[in-house]
Amino acid sequence: MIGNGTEKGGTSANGEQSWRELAGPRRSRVNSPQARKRRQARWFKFLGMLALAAVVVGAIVWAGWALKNKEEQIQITPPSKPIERILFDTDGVLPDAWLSATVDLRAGMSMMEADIHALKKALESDAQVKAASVERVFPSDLRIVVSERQPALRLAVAGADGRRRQRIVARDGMVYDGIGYPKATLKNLPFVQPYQHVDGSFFPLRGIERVADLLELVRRNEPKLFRTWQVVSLQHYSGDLELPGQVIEVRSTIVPRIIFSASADYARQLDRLAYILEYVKNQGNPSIERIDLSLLGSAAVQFSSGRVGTF
Amino acid sequence: MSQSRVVGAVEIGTSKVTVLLGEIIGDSGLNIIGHSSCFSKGIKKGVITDLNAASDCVHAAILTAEKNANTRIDEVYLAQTGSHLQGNFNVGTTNVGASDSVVSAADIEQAKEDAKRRKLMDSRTYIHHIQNPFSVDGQQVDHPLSKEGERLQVGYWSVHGDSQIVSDSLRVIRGIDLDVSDMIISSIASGAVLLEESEKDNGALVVDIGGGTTDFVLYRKGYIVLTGVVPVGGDHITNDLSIGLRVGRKSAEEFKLKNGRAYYQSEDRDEKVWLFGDLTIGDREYPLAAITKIIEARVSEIFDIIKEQLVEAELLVPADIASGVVLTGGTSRLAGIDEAARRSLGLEARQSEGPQDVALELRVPEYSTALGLLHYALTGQEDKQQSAKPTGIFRRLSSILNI
Repeated sequence: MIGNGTEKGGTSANGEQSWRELAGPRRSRVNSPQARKRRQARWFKFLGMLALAAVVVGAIVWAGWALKNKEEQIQITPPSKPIERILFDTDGVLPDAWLSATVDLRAGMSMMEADIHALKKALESDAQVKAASVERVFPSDLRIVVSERQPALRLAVAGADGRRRQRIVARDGMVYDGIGYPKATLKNLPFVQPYQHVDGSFFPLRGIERVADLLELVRRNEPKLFRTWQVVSLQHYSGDLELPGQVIEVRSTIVPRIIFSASADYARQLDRLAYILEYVKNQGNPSIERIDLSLLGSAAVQFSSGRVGTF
Repeated sequence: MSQSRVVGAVEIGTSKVTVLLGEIIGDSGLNIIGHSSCFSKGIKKGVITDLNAASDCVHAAILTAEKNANTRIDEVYLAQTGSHLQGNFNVGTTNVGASDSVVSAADIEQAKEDAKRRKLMDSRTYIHHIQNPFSVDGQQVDHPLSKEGERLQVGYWSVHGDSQIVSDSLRVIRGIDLDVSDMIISSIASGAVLLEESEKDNGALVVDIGGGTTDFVLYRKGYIVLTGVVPVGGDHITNDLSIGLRVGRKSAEEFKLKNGRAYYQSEDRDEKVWLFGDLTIGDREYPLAAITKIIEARVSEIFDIIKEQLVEAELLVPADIASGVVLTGGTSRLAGIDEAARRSLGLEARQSEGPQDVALELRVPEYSTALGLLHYALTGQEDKQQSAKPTGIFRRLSSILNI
């Protein structure tokens, strides 16, 4: 230690009128270039430390965020194996070949590589498919469930090449190619002559559900009669039941023209039709040209002979 | 792990600004880690006359010391000098309060406060209140607590300075964003490191002869009983030589240190000395007597003024200053200055050797004040042995309960 202990008695001047009272505010200091330089250096050092601290804090926050995200990813993502099986289920007739042609799954594709949303969209792009679901079944299966539209009518259309093609009309009016249906099923479907809109076009097919109801009712209750139906003409049916004179015309093998009111009760009209056909049968089966069931309170029957009777 | 703080000891002298950096570890360890000094500017006779010039110089010295030590100063201990410093002796008296006439801590505090009560003019400010011995019923005692008596007295040598001058020196330090933790007058700082405990007890006079001023402190029976500043220093000797020999100040300073002696002797009449000694243009011979007579006149003046002050205070009692005179400061390097002191003051005198426990380069008179400042940074100015305030829970309790 420098020196030899403290002075006896002490020497400090505290209290009133001490030099310590002269310690004034900082603004009373005397500056010099060196002092300014030192002050600046101290500020730069402080700001540097502040920036460093900000970087460190930022890095810690980022690391924490990244770690948290990584953990979440681990929780939701199972080991991604290649797809080994596709479990295809449909309530209709679409075959596996259609599935292979519709969905694009390359060999060895992993479960997580398969874009299930894109697959669903591709499946539903076919009008025969009403709804589709695609589900990953870990570890290695992909389940595809398809709900198909039910055919109600056939539609004969001419293609661009002039050839006649057959298309299917679903209960909701959707027209589609109709893949996988047995020939017998298609053969039983009557053809439809669509309504011609004012602009000359035939589509869309509006109010087809009402037509389908009629066909379903006949198919279910009068299967023999249904088999004789060949064409359903919608030439006088716009689909708008609010409009007057909306009729559905059926051409069958036994009666060339049967006219139903689209807005009236089908069951009553069919009962009346059955009665007329029974009556005609009892009368020796005279040839009938037209039966109009759309009239209020009665039905008109036009025989080939030109006579018209009301029932 | 002990906490450490870096203390800067700053002495703003007339000819030189000295900065010493000490690292104080805990309460007892001190390492001197850096130092610097530069020639003063804007300072005359220990007083700042040009704040900007002085700031440039002081700040440069502080920054250089910090750079050398590769650290930053935490607090500053500042030396104060100049002829504006004055002192007066005040006696505080109190009647012992307890019915059993036993001096209590409260009585001691009362006596101390009474001694320090003297008001100064608004332009003056206290630098030190230096405690002297207590007396109980006229009987001198070092530790009056629990002594029996009716009347307790204590003397204080109070040193005060001009408020404006003191404030200027504080502003210079604050200019570099440092706070002054304590201020100690140069003579007391030097005395603290140059004297042994026994020398203080035997009585000693420390004379610090700087460039512009000479500070002195007188110890008697271990207490500081007198301090003073003489507005004459080594620069005055140089100036006299410069005028007397018609040479520049620089040459005069070199000539003083090389050939000068603090007293004249008859043999000097026959001896001649060369100004430069290298026979270059301008080099010439001077009679040694002319030089020593000029120096002796100034040195004698310094010691005579000190002697006057000692006599005036009735303190020039050789028996009470048995350890003699210790000379320090840059001018104490002058040959024969101890003899000059001996002749003028009639006391044994010696040039200081500097404290033995510091590096050789710091063991020179120029650093004694700054070393003394570091000494106070380590120990403080309070006398813990004589502190009337009890320490420790049980002592405080006993003080409160008066048991």
